[in-house]
Amino acid sequence: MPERHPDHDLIQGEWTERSLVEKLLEPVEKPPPRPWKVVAAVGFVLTLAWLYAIFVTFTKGLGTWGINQPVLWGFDIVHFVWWIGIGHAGTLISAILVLMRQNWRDSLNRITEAMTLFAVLCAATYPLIHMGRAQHFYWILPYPTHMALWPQYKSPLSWDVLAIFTYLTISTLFLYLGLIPDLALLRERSQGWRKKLYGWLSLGWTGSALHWRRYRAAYVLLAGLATPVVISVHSVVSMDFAYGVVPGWHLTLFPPFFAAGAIYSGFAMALTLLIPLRKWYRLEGVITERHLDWMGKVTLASGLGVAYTYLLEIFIAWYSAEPAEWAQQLWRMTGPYAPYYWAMMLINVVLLQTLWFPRFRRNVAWLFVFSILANVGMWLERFVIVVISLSHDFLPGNFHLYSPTWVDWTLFLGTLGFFLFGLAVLIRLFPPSPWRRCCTSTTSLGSTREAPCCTGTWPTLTRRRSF
Amino acid sequence: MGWPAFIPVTFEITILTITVGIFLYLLYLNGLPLAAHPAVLAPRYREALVDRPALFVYATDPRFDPEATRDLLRALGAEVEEVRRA
Amino acid sequence: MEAVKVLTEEEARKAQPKEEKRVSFYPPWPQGEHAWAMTVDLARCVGCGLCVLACQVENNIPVVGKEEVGKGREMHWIRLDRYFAEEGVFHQPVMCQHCEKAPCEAVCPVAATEHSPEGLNLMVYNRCVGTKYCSANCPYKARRFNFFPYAEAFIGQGDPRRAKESPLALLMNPEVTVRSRGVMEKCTYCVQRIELARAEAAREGRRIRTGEVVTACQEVCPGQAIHFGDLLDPEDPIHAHREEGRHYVLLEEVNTWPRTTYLAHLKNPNPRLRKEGGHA
Repeated sequence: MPERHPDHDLIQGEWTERSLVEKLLEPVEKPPPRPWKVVAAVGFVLTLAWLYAIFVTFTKGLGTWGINQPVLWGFDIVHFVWWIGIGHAGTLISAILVLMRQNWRDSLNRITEAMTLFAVLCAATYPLIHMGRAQHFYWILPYPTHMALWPQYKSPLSWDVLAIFTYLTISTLFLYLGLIPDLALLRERSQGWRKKLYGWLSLGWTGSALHWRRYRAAYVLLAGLATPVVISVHSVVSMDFAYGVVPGWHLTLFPPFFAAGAIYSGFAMALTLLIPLRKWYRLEGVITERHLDWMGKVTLASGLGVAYTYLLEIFIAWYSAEPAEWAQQLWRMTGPYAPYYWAMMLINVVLLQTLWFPRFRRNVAWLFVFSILANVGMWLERFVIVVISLSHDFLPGNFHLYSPTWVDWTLFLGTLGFFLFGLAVLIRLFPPSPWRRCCTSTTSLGSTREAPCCTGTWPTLTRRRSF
Repeated sequence: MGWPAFIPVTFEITILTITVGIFLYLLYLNGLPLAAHPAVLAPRYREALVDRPALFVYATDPRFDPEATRDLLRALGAEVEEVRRA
Repeated sequence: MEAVKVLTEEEARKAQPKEEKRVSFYPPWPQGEHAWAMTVDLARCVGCGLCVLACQVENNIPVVGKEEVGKGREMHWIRLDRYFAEEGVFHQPVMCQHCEKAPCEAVCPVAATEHSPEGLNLMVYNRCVGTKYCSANCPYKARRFNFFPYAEAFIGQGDPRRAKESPLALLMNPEVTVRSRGVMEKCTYCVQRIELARAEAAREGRRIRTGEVVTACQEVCPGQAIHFGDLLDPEDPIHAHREEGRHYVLLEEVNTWPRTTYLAHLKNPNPRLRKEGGHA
């Protein structure tokens, strides 16, 4: 008795719940397509290169990087901020869109949450290895010592540590919580080591209706708590700069600017990943063009916030009548790094406007090209903020340009490789889209929408604590 | 005088502890992690995980009686294939 | 920002020291027995660089070599800024300004750079983890970072692992820590000399005498441009320096309240000379 899938208005094609499950478990249960092998292989090789570059950094010293006296934060912090920004789409989709009852996030949340996890992991490595004495990294954590030495909580860096740790924990919990029912099904369907793995990870989830009810409540509570964290993490990262006196950093506008930029770059990276993925795994019916259109709209909205700040930065530099600020702005626009600045303006201000037009936004090819460009644009933005600001501060005697070394580049490509490799492994182990869709989102908020898939299983006759 | 500097850290730690707490409390309420559950051994359990409703009656239920419960379920139109003793 | 100001003789005579606008949310630091401060008279500075050298010898600053300096990684705690103007070349030695509201102190996540009650901006080498945030946030960029094991490589004649057995270790000033790889360092106001003077004064049961503490750069300056003194000592000539019309604070707009201050370069060139030889 095939019934239409309850989410038939959000997905494309004739799906029943069962046929959709079969489709979504394909990436895990069937041999991977050819592109998967290429991505995993490239990712693995780059990960090894990354480990080598870290080894060189640790054994020889930070001098192997391109950083110098005024530009003490170079590619390390550029990429740290870049990755953290990319890591924002996942929890945004899981948390904020749940609260806003945007059911379309169900097709996207798993893969973007996985993206978040790896992006934040990549980001978190940079502050660790950029320390001069990384062996003492734990001094930044608040742990009791016999010398009664604590971190200095006036420093935004110590806020950063906790913000990122919190964010990493919450996004991992989100990903994991969403995975538990999928893992239970996989446990029942697989053999050998996989059965063992899924058995352990699914924690013995049975699918009882009572469990589902508590599960949904917990999911929404987590969403409510994660929402302020999504906004706060990049705001806290922005305070590393806004707190400083360096011209080009010292701007109270930074927290909302960084939050908008994070959402923008996160959605851009999600598009970059989803568009090839839906093609390789033939998921066009689940991740439909309407989904891409919605994502394009969010990209546009957050991108406009970024573009607005660029223009306002110029105005404030002029309006503050602060010579160093204005000199910094002119240095960005006309100095040796001007091509970077203008490329950033071209992508994030001019090309962004194409997303206003359905003709461009609904063109999957252009959306893919633009999403890559937006990633580049956001990389340039972080380069402008970190490197260009530091290279030209107050006293002319300090000015010095920055040129990255092969170690810097390998560290960057290495994190890219680790990111791709991690995602490739995750897709082989866990389905890229949750099959039990409506259960994690709006129905739990008492929406009027019917959710048969959540009410049908395991009504229990008893009121025992656990079953 | 320096108290505003402690706001971000207080905020993050609050959220962190509550989130982890909710997760652990969910596991506690649901009695997870659970090593084994008799329902899993039912022949068509896999379908119950996807789109079929299934009913699990605990023998510890005070009103449980192997015969009477089976008859009740039969009367409601269910097919009872076997009664398992765990 | 003007590098050069042309004044009439009248104006030059009447000039008042530039009043510093000091604004802060925070209470002042607790005041110790002394309040160390430095003035640099730029009119007396000829830009010879002896202060840089004396500082290097006194404070065990490693020689890093041409390649590293080319990358912008010089380790000298004093930087000699040069400004080229119509009126000639102006030199300005810039070292850690020992700000009372130091931007570097606020941003260190492990409290490795701290303020002493005597106004010194202290650097705790063995607490430093090397985030480099302090230097990024220093408007004077007076801090130096050990990108490589410079000191060990210098002592070990190129091989940092041989530093412990090398006789070159005897070259180092035993009063000053030799910094390891990955820590930040900067001008300390020759804190080892302050402590030596304090110990001697304590032994003799007296206060530190006016002008008893002399920093390495001050000791060696041929033009006597650098003066180190105690703001709490009414006898100290530093008060006269700070009341001069040429007195100013570098980058006052950043509101850092530096303890190191400058006396502007004052020139009174013969008008006939200027006509003939340009600024030569």
